Amino acid sequence: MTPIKVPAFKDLKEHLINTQVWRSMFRGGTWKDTSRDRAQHILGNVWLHLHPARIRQRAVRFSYTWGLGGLSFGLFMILVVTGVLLMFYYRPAVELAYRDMKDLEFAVSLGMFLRNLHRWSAHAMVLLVILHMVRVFLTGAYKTPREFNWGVGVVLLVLTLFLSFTGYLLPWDQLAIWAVTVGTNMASSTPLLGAEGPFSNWLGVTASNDARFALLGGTTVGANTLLRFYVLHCVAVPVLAGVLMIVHFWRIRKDGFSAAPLPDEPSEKKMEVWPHLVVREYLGAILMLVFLVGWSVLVNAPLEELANPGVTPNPSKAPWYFLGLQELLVYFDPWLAGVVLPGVITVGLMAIPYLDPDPKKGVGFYSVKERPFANSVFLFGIGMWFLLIVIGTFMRGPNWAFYWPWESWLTHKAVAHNTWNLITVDLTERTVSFFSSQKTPGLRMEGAPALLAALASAGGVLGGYFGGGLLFPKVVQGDWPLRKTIGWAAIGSIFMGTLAKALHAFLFRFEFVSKNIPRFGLTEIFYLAFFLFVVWVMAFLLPQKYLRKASLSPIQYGTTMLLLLMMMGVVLKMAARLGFNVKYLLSVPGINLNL
Amino acid sequence: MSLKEVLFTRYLTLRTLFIAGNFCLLALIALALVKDQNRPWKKYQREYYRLEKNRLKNEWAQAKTEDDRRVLAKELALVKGQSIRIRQVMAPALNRYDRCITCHLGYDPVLSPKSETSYPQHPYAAKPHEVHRAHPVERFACTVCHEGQGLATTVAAAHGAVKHWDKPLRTGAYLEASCSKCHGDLDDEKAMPQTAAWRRGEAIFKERGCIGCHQIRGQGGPISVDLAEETADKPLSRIDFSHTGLPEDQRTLANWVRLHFVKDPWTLVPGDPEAKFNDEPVAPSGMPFFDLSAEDAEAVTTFVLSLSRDSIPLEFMDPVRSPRAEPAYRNAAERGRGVYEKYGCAGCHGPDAKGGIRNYNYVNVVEPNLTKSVNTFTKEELVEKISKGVSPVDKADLRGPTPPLYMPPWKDKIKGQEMEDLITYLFSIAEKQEEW
Repeated sequence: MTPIKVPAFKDLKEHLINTQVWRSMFRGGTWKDTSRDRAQHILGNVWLHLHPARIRQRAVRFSYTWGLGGLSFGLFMILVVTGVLLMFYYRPAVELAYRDMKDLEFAVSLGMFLRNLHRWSAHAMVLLVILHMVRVFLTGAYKTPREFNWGVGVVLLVLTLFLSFTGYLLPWDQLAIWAVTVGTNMASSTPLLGAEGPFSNWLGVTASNDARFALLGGTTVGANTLLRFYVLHCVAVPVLAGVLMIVHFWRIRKDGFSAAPLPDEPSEKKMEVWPHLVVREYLGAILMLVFLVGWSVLVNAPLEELANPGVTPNPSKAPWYFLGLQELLVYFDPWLAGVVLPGVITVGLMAIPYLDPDPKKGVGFYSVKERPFANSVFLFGIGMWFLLIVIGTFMRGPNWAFYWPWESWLTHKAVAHNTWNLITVDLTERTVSFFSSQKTPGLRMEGAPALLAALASAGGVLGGYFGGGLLFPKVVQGDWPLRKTIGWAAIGSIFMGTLAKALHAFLFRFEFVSKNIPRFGLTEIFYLAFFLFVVWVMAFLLPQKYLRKASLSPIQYGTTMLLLLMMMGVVLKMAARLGFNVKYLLSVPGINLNL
Repeated sequence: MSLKEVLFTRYLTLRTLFIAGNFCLLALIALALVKDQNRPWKKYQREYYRLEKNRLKNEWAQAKTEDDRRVLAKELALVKGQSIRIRQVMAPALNRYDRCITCHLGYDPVLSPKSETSYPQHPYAAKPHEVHRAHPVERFACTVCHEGQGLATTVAAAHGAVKHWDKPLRTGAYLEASCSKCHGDLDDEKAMPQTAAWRRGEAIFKERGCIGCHQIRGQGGPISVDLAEETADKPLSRIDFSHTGLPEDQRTLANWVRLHFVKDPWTLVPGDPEAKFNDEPVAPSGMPFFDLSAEDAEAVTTFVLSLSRDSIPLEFMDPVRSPRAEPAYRNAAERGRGVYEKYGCAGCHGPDAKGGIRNYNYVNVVEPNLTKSVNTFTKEELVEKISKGVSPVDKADLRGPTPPLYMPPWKDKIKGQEMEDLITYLFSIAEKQEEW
């Protein structure tokens, strides 16, 4: 009897790979680990073929990309998988949605875990997408020929926010409906298209045919809204985002993967994508999953009381990524804070690559010194965005009063101080009030001369700010070294502070001022000087130094400066409100126009 | 080699990270599964099945007849055939889907059709009770009476002792508050012998004249809130617990209502008399400090909670009120005393019209003692005073808050014979004025 010969594992494998079935499924024969094999592995695999076969070594460094784009896509995939699984248990009807949440938590196997993973991944995705944008900006990776892909990325960022926002409503608890109420109320302030926005009464727009109505399917958040948001969240927006992701990835590939080529090193060393890049991508995904799965095992996603349109929580907060905008509502009218500013931010972000004076400078590495203007302005904006979010999230309590994070919301806080407007125009009575507040009518004037005076003052303030802001950096010649700068800043700030003090002292003799701004001491002067200094550095010194001689067309220069001046205008308006209780510079209640 | 290089070339290499990452992910997914498999309710079911098997085996061993054995064997087979699973009773008409029987298996309609077990320990105890007999769990489920969170399957969440659940388990006297959801005759001792605390609460409510300031579905004085429409279903997020001193886990509606009877309402709702937080000064609560005993306070709380409305289908309702014996009054003065009680005059003027109820920033400090003041009026003046009321009352400190209490005009409510009787009563208790 001959013993049965056990074939070696190697032979078995060889045999398996050479079977007709295997060869029909996988291209390429036995793996010989040659360069050709590795390239073939990328090119012949549908899941990997968006990668190039070889890639610049720099792009593989973790500290170059931080893997942020790939991780964002990874999070999208986690969200698709967990989302589809959750859809098996969720019914988008007001009587059932909340009960299904409870079922997920208490009865469904791994239901709570799934919901946690979905929720935390969604938050993580919003954060990582923003950070990915910051990374791309700082490495100049949006420059020619990647301008278009940067724009697609900005749209994807907006879609990510919208995806998260639509998902926020689905648990149908108090947190959900009130966050969505706050968020969608901003839509009703859209100029022309929102019932409470400026000029909408001219078009006959009311609460039952405006932009918010289209979003909600009603005048309040209700059953129609739930169904609408469900369809948007599960079908419409993911499909749209998916389509744009295809474009985004395709353009990454076509525009020359990740790390853009360095101009002075045209023939950089390249490495094979399989296995060097693929293993890093896999590693990034795994480590992120470890973090998220661990987080989801330990921390439950929030679920508050069943939605009750009759009980408004105090405070009602939007989802965290919109809390910066909600915080801006303290300083601006809803149509500015909720519609115009986010619109300008989005369009401004998309315009960045087209406003670049030198598309070759600072590409492919963290270019701090090479692009001082671009980096300062962009990081200032991002910093402000997150600062406002932090204030709105952790430091706002009942009645939107300021609470430190360690303070109990049960502590009562005094109501906000008496606020006042610089100019208030009453169109029906044809009167104008200067320095009016809730308590004092201020200086009232009537008739056409008064309206003209109001127009002149408002035009003077706004025109002076934007016109002067546009002109000065171009007109003022010469270099301004640091010492000279600080000297001038000190002198200028003290001068402005003294001027303000003198003006106040003069106006203080009138009751309408003394009641509104009773104090104007050293603190106020320092406060004013600080904000003027910041604006002076950001809106004058930086552009004077870096934009004056840059090769920018007048349109490019004007757009850049307008965006910059608007951002600094937000800072100034916040300072005016926080320091001096100024509510509006110009208020025309008749047409819902408040600035 | 620098520390960083050593770290990344020796320890945090791609290979170690790859292995560690995969391992950690696997371990965490296993942890999630284990956590999911070890839900806390499972141990109660296992224990219950064990107890039941032991009991049935013992009884089987001691059984005397073959028939008894057959019955016990059948029961044992039933218990043995049970799997560990979530159990629930559904009462869709009442919108109740209660998983209470997942742990409280003594009330499972299949395992324990009589809702009765011999085990004294929680959660297996199930004592026979006539109320349970009248309300079979298959039809009524649990939380329609007991409240709590029926869908939940953990101890804290199911008993409603968690954040964001406004209706915790009703225990003790408070359970009686649920009867009013369907029954209209809680005041009938013979028909509803179980609602003694509710009846006691209602009696105190009447005696103290609560209805003089509060309304119940619109009926009553206009000075304070409607207890049925506003208080009995008040969302917890609307209650300012900052002056109650209650720890977070005890901030319930029942405790909020109860504290009004045992703590000075001025400390509970201090208002803002110095206008520190508001533009205008706000007086503290107008409610007197009743200082009830713990038991009385719970009784009145039970009454207030019972005013809540739940959407109960008609088929469950038994709103018939037993006819109440008309109180026998011997004379006009006694009838007048009835009027005094009916409209809650005692709320401000005291149970025997002896006054003394405080009113913040009121120029006379306390509401008048009628026994002393009535004789300063003629009958016509008194009728006019009651008809018109006194509003607003004079402030002690003119810059201070408006006093919370005032006398509303009664002309639409007290008139005709009732007014006559009330006047007769008031003059009957009035002290004689000394002649000057």
